[in-house]
Amino acid sequence: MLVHVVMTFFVMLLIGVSIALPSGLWVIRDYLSYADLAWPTERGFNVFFESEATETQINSTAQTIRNHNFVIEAYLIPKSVALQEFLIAADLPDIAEGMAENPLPDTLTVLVKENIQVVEVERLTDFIRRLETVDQVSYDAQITVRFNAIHTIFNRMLWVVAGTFCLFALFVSASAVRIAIESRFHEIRILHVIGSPGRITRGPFLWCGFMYGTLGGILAAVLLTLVLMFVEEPLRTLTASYGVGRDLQNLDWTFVGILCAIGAFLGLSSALYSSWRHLQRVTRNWVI
Amino acid sequence: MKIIEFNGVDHVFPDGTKPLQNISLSIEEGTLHFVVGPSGSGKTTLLNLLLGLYQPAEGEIWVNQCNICVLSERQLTLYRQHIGTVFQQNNLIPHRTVFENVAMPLWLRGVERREVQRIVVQMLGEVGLTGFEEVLPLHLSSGDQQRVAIARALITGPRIVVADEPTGNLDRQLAGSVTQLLKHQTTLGVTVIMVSHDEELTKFADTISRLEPALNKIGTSTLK
Repeated sequence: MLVHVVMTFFVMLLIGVSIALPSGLWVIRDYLSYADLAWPTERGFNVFFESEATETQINSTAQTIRNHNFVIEAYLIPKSVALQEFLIAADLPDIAEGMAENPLPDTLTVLVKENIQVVEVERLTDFIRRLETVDQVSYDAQITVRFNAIHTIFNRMLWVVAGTFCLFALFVSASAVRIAIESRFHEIRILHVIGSPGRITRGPFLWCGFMYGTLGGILAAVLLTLVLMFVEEPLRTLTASYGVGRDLQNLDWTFVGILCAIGAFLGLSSALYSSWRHLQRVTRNWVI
Repeated sequence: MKIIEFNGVDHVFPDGTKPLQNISLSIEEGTLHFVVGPSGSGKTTLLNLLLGLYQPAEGEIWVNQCNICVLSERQLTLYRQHIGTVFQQNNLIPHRTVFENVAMPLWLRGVERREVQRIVVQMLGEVGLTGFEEVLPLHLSSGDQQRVAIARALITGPRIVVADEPTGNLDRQLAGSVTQLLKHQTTLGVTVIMVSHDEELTKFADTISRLEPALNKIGTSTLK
């Protein structure tokens, strides 16, 4: 009995780990994407204004930029707000009082349309650089392209890892169901000979696979919560360095539900395959 | 009335062995029919063909005027629900109680719980196992285990009972009492086909088929 319980736990743990690993990567990627505005993208750049520029001048220049055909959105971060955000993110809230002057410039974050080429964005930034009161435009096409390539590689690797681990979970669950079938072969044969319909014979094994998967999903959620608690601090430091202050949220019920659903789907499909394949041996190679 | 008919049945195993060739046989309803013969003569194969567990390579098997060779797997499952089966060993599910083992065919048919309770208790009484409902099969003697298997075979009131060496592991006295129990069913209109090594038991039979391996190397059997 104890051996059976331990075995069941290990099966669920293996499925849980298989689900937790890609899910964990996904959660971290999702979290880091919040820092996107501070990172370079092909579709965005920052415009820094001269420190002497007045509010009216800045608003007028910002409006000129907003009116450009390529621009879909441009929002202003006043230097006072930028300083406040920076000090909070850097965990230095009291420093502001001792500062004689705000060293940060007013900033306009600009997003351009999706279908605009890098060359055209560069043309736009050249145009903005020539505008009155504009000090700098931070747009480095090379870095942007590299960064986006890395981003794409990471995303694709995430799918590869997820696919590989899903296959692993399927294999583990299918093997566990096969062992369950083999350990009850005698009972299955009796059921077959007294006329048990396939759905009744298969039922317990499908249920078994479903439970392995669902409980594996719950274990994945537990593991993920533990891992996120462990990496929360360095992640917060990383994102704070990009000027984004956001706590790593605990997994919500929807996410836990999705993990369980993925686990249940994997468990059930592997049990369907395994029971179909191995129960056939009872009916096809009948030897009493 | 003939309830079972084998017409020119051949069976071939995947490795090419032919345990039965050109078997023709008919069994009257409400009789105890013995199939006897030495090991390897194809007795169990004959019963497996009758249960639809094997498909014959040639010929037809008619049960109650229905050719079972043309039935689908789903139809065969339903067909098997109407046939009682008893084997020499491994008849019972060891981790289920006597009650659960006997009740299983009723559960498969979706019979109501209270009705199951009533029928099983009555059936266990008929085979002399009253009070053994909650006992696990391992705690029963071989003879009592066979009685449980017979109770399970009869629980749905089948018209045909197939018994493959049900007395193989029993001493002479127990073998006699189990055979008598099966013989008693024929008075209720049940047809019993019983395979046995034991020539002594044929005294209970109404009809007998004798399978003997032919002299050729593939072990072909002929029916006498």
